[in-house]
Amino acid sequence: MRGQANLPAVAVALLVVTTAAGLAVVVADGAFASAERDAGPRATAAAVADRLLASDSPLTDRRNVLNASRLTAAGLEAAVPSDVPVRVAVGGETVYERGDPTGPTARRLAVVAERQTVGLEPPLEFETVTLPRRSPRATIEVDPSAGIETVRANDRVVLHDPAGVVGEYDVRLSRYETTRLRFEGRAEEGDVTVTYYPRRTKKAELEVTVGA
Amino acid sequence: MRDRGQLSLSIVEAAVGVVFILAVTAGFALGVPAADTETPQLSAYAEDAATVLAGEPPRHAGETRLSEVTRSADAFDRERDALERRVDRILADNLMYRVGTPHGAVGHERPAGAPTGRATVPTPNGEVTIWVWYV
Repeated sequence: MRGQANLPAVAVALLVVTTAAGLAVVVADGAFASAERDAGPRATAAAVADRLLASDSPLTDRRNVLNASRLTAAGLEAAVPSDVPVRVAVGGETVYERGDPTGPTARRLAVVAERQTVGLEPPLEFETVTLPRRSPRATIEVDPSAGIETVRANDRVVLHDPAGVVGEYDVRLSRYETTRLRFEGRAEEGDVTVTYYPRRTKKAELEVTVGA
Repeated sequence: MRDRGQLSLSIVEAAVGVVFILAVTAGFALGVPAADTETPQLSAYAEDAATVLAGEPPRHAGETRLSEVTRSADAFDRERDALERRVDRILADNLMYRVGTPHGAVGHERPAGAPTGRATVPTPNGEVTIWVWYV
C-alpha cells in the first residue's frame, strides 16, 4: 500500500531532476560556445599585419612606415598567405582582397610615406641655399653658362670640377640634418636648378581581415 | 502517517538533487570570465606609435624624435607641443594617450580601471613610455 502511493511522487521527482539536468547541460554548452574564440584566424591576421609592417616587408621603408608607391595589390599578393580569404585595407581603403573574409580583424597603426618632387631655383646671391625640408638625395642641374667649381653640402664636397661643373647630377644628402648647399664659383640666379625629394607622411590604420 | 501531511521522500530527494545540479550550472553561467580582447589591441597600438616615433628624425638635435625630448628639460619644454601634435596625428581618433619622459609627460591623465596598452622605448637618456586607451 505504501509503495503504491509513492509511485506518482517518484515519477514527478524523476521528471524534475531530468529537466534540471537537461537545463544545466544547455547552459554549460552555451557557456563553452561563448568562451570558444576563433584563435586560429585571429593569430593569422595578427601575424600577417605584423609581417606587412616589419622592416624587411616588401611594403615598408622602415618599421611601420609604408611606402605609398609599393602599396599595390601586386605587391601584397606575395606577402599574404595564399590559402585563406584575406582582405588588407589601409586607411579604410581596401588595397587587396581575395575571397570574402568575415573573420577577425587585426588593426595596426602605420604611417604612409610618399616622396614628393620639389623644384627650386636658388637665388645664389650669397652662394648658399638651404633646402627647407630633409631629403636623402637631390638633383642639381647646372647650365653651361655658369662657372661653378665646387658644390658643397654642409661643407662636404659633393661636386668638383676646376673647369666648371656642368650638367645634371644626383647627389646623396644626409637624412639626419638639414642640408645647406653651397655653390662656389661664379653663378647667377637661373643658372642652377635643385630638385629635392622630401617625404610627406600621413597616418593610416592597417586592417587585416582573415578567415571565412 | 497520512494524517501528518509529510512530503514524500522522493520529492525531497529530487529537490536536493536539483539544488546540486543548479549549483554546478551556476558555476558555468557565472564563472567563465569574458576574455580581455582590448588590452592586446591597445598594446599593439602603443607599440606601433612608439615604433613610428622612435624611427622619426628629430626636429633639431639628437638621433630620433624621442631621444631629442629626453636630452634635457629645456629640450622637452621646447618640443612638448610638437610631440603632442605628432602623437595626436599618429594615433587613431578613438584613442587617448599619454607619453611619459624623464622630464615630464604630455597627453591626458590616465583613467583608473580602463584597459590600457603600454609600450616603452629606451633612449640614451632614459625611457619613454606611451600609454594608450580607448576614449
